[in-house]
Amino acid sequence: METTAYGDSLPHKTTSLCPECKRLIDALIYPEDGIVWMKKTCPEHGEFKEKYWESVDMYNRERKHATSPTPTENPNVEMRGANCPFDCGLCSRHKSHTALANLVATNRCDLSCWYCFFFAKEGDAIYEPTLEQVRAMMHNLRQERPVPCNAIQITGGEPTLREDLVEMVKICKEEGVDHVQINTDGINFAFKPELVQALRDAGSNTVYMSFDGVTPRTNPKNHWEIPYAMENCRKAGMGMILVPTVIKGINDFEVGKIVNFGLNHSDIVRGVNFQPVSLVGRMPQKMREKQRITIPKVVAELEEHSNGVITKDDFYSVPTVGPITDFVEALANKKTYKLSTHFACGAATYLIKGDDGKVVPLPQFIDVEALREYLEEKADEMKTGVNKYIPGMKYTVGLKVLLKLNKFIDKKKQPKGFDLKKLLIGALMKHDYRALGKLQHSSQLIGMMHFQDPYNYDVERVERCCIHYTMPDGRIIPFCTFNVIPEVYRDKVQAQYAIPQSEWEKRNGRKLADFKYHRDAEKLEKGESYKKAYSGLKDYFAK
Amino acid sequence: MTYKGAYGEQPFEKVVKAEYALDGVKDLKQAAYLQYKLMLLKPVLRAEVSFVKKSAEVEYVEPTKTPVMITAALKPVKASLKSKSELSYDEIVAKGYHG
Repeated sequence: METTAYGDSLPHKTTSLCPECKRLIDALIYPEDGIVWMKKTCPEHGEFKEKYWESVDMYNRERKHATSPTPTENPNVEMRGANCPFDCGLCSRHKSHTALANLVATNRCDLSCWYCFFFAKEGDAIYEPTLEQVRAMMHNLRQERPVPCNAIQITGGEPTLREDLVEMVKICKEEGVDHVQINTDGINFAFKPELVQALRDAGSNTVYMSFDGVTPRTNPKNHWEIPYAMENCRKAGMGMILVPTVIKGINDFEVGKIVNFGLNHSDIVRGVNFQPVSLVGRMPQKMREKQRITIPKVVAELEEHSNGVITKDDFYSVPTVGPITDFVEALANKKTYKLSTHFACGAATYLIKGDDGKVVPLPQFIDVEALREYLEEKADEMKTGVNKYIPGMKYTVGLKVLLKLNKFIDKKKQPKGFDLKKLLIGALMKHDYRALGKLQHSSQLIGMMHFQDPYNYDVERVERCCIHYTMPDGRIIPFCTFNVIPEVYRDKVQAQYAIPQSEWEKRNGRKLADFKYHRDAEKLEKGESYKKAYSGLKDYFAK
Repeated sequence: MTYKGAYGEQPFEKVVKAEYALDGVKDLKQAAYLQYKLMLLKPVLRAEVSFVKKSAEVEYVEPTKTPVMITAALKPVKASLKSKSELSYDEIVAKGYHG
């Protein structure tokens, strides 16, 4: 079988899992009819063919953005990853440091969504790490070298069901974590303004809010509550990222409207992070074909829905920013945050709103490829040759780069009233961050993050994963092993640390069912916040 | 049972660490699959199967019934017990924590 190394051309041989028995099997990633497929055969369960990425062209462009990794120097387990993904973690084979760590606060939830596999049902044990364990886990993440983890997402279940959530945020901050975000369904955010304010005051600055569409049909989970959650975040000064899980045939036809919704509320919505569905659990091929959607297809839908305002060329895979990190590292002479994730895992673009209300994606007025090349060259210049021995030379190079930025900016295409060079010079040289603050309210990060499932599983993606889970037993587990092989990671460890539901109810004097949410949709629809959120929206993509 | 250790409340106090010599492991992929099968066993907390060393290291609780489950999970590979010791779970957990 002809094969290539990571980042080289197709076809490419990798290692995957049998979706039935989780045995490691060889897999081939190859092009066919413009789509990238994965094909693999289990000796016991036969052949599986799955869509890997729905554009060969985009795959070929993004594979070139694969970047060199920054692994941890102090792995958490002694295993070397020979049995990857069963050696987690992090082991010495793992290639990326923790960029964002998930901390599961509870497996209780106030909703009971039929498709969710991750909440305690009647009779299930309750997993809730103690504050002491939370501190130990935070301390652990902060000790990662050479780059300590600096971003935490407190997740669940529904984390706001924990009465000591504010304490958890404080612990994260005390342990030195700068960025603490809450991953929530937004129900408690809608009805407990004092909780939102307390979380903000404790140091949480972002809420990662589930938001699957702009209508009750596409977003039955929290359509009615989102407007009230937004209002409370607005009052507390808490930024919001909307997080739609995209399923073909269910809500993929609304991706443009979701971005437009975010743009209409850009005073509070900092971005939209689309997550193409991860088909965990056993699913017949016909059903998978019906629901499967991958990053290139979501991008293509967005191009269509936005009438070409946003194009597929505006999206770049996550590791594209590698040369910026290399440049900053060379300048600062130390390792820093590097998003060395696999290029197939995520993509993003940045939308800027001009003074005239027109939206322009950043790559439409910045020559990303040329800037990448230039920064790579300058990083090399600082790291090699005589320059590294000349005091102050690095800063001269840094200044030169800043002054040369014009070369990469097409001023005619910049949004009206927006001057990127002025903004960067103001922030970096004059330490004037007002313009950057203003930019936060007139811009949107549009991200895509496709978590894996047993059908499209690629060990090369897992070993580069930079979104991890912290566990009370001292291990740090990549997202797509934690959730795709839950029987040996998530569920197993949580069961060890959980207490029986009856005991939890006795300790807390409450029944699990007491926390379930009962909606009064009619009442919510009559509220001013509801009308303000959904009515009279501007169409930023009108022809 | 919970045990109050250095890293917060831990679910176990003492665990057994056993090393097995393996006869008949064909390749790396089989070793990985055997490790997965060991990890599926509820009393097994951690497991490592090495194709190179032809060995399995298993940390587990419930010492009376677990060894039988381990040898059954490793079939068709033949496992012979090489060593067995008892250690504190806190010690194992501590290894995962930096500093």
